Amino acid sequence: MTRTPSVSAGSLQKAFGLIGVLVLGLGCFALFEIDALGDGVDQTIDQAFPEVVSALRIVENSAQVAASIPAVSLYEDPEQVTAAVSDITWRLTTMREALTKLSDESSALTAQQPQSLFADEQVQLQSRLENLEQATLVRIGAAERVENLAAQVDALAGLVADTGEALSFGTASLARLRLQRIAREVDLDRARLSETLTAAIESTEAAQTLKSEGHVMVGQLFAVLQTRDLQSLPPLENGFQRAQSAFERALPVFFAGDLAIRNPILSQNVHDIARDWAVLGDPETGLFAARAAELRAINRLETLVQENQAAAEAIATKADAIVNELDVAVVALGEKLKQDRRTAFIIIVLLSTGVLVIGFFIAWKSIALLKNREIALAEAATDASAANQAKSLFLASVSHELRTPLNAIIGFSEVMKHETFGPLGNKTYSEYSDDIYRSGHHLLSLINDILDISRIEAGKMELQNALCHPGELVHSVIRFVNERAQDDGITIEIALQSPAAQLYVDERRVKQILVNFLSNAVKFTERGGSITIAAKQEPDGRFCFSVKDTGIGMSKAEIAKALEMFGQADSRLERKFEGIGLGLPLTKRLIEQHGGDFVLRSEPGKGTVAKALFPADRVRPPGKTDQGVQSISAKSEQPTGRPKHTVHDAARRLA
Amino acid sequence: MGKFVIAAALACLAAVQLFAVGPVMAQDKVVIGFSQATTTEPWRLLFNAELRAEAAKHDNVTLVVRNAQDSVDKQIADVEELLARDVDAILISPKVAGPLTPIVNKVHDSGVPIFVLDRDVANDRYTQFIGGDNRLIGEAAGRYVLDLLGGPGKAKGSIVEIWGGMGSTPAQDRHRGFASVLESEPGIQFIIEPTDGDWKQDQGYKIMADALALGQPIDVVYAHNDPMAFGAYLAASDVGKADGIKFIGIDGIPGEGVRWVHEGVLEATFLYATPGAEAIRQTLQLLRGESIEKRVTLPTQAITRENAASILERYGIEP
Repeated sequence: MTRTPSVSAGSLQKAFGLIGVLVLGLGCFALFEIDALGDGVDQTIDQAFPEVVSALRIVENSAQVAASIPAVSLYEDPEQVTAAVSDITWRLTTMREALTKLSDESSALTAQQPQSLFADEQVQLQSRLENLEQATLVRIGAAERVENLAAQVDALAGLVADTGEALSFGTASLARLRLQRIAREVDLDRARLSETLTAAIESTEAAQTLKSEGHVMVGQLFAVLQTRDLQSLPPLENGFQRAQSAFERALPVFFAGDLAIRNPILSQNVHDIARDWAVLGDPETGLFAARAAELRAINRLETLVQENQAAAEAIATKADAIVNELDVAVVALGEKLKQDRRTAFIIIVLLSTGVLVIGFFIAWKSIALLKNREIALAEAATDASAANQAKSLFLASVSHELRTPLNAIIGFSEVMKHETFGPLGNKTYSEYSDDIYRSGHHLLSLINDILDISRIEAGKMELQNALCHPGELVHSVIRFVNERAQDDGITIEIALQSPAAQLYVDERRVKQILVNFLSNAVKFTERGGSITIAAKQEPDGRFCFSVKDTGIGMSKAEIAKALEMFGQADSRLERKFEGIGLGLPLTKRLIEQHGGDFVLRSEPGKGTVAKALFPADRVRPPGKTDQGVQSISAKSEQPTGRPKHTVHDAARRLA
Repeated sequence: MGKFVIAAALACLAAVQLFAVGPVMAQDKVVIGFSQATTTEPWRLLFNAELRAEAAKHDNVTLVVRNAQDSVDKQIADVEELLARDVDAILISPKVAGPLTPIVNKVHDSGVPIFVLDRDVANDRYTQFIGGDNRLIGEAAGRYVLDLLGGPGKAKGSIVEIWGGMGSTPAQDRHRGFASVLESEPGIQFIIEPTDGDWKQDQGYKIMADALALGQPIDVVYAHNDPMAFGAYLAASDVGKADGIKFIGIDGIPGEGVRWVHEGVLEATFLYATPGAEAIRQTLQLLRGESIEKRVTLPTQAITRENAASILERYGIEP
């Protein structure tokens, strides 16, 4: 009738486990791929970048060196030269370090060995640089000497100009004076005239020579300062020496003449001029030698600068080549990285798609299986319910059919018991007929219970609600157990609320509930025990009937058992006390049929409390009529007059 | 204690300020241009020598000297060149007043300090004039001669005055100063008409020879410069009449007039100092930011046999 669900919890776990494993696997693979990419990037950073940086450093430094070299030769201050050279040397060192680094990397990026590539140029450049520094310092020294001598030439030129004029004027003046004196001599001596005139002419000539050769020498010296051509120096020096010897030849004549005696300043000037000529014309320390040294230094520097620059440019070119090579290698590396990244991306996407598809498939399969299981469960439930209904229907009809013969049994056994038609004779018959009667009754009540339960389960139980007084109910049900209690020596106490509220319930069913409570209480209470039945409204508005005994009590398991249908059947209670256990389940159902709650509290050896709690909307204030019955289920009415005290009825001792 | 500390602090402050001003000037390069009219005469050579010597005392001073060689046009060109060279100051000893006044004014207007030396120009649009006062020198010479011939009121004698350039102001001033002292003396007489000696000794010789030829007794010869006085002495000496005559000159150049005085050729000479050294001192003073006078008059000095030797000694000239 019911299908066994084909999907177990285990297979679901397996499905989800599989999805998990797939996702985990995918994650691991993605991590692996990303790690591999990271390795590629690491490789690029660790290997390519330092190499590129080194190469760039080489290029930068070689360019700087090439640019700095001509500047070195132009400095005027030896300190600047030294600083510039040490800067270039530092750059060369940096470059060498970069080259060493580049060579040590032994990377796949550069096929060549850059260090060996540059070794020759480096050494050459270094030694050339030293030459350059030396030559520059030589040039600066020579230039300083030339500059000092140039200042002397300048001063001398001024002196020559002053003196030349004074020489002309002085000789002319003296000649005129001599002529004046001769002209006024009374007896003219021809010899003396000749001597005077000769002397005048000689000193004029000497002065003229001093003046003109002085100007010539100044001109030669300025030409020396102006020229940049080493070849032009010897002719200039020759001219200077020629003028100087002419000047020197004229000097004794001048110093012996009257003018030198008459004009000491002029004489001093001529003397100074002669001295300066000697200084400036000195073959070792004079202007010609100094200027020649300077020009030679300049020429040498020009050559050195060209050589150095060529060497530096050669290095720069090679460095450029290395950078280009590195550039290509790095671009290739980048391309490879890009390719790797693309591949990894595609693999991850494909794998993800695969895992998604598999996951969806598993999930779809699982959902389908779960759906089947749900349907199967629903079908099983429906089947069970139908079976139950069938059972109830069966029981109801069977019970009804049973009751008819049972009435006959009970009726006839009662007739026999009372010996209505004459004595039974043997006493044993009388006892048998009594047993038949009691058994029939018991069977009847059992069948009634079964019928009631069947009715409830079949949904055919209808409550005959009406207003009733709880007190009256209590009193009426006590009669059912009174006799038995008295027989067993059990005291029954009644506790009622006053004024008691009214209840809107099915009175017969409530009585049935209370009889059941009391029957059980009496049944499970030992001799000398007591039973208390109470009826009162709870503080929450509900109405409570409770039956408390001092009986044997029940464990929690026993309570659960007692609430099952036929639960008493295999318990110790059944063995000890009569009954088939339909009482409590039926009672529970009847209370629930009223919308109430059944509470059973018990502990072994400490007695039992059974409570039937009716909802507040079934409670009516005392004396209230049957009005408002219709609204009973529509709204929950709170009792308007709640009792301030709970007054116990005068305990009626029934035993 | 407190006062001592304050005093010490003030002293330090003062010292710092002193040194703060001094070295700044000493380190700054100064270029001074000098336009000399000519160097024909010994006095001009002395002028240049003294100017150079004073400039040489300062390491930071560069001197640019231009010699106009007796040409007005060249002197104008020289000053233009110095102005174009952006020198810190220009000194000019103008050959003549009128034609050189515009260039002096031009320099002055351009903001470059210009010092006019020895001979003045036509206006005072320049920074400073430095020169001797020829009238005062003439007066000093006149008083010396007055005393030589007997003193005021009693003086008696005949004088030959040999003029420098008669058209030049120094000659005129030397004459006026001299005459102002002596012309009122009744016992004094000038025996020749004013004659132009053009500052030259051969002219001095000629004028003196002509004067001697007049046959009159001569007591004093007053020449406007030493070379003319020396020429006059030679003229007298050549005719054996030098002994009774006192020769008075002006300029007092050590190697020339002073030595002649020391040798007894000249009776006396009156210093016409060159403005060379003073011009450098005044220029540096101005460039230091200090104020200077508009005119500086160089003092004169009578050089006689009493002080001639010491002057020669001072100049390192063998007597």
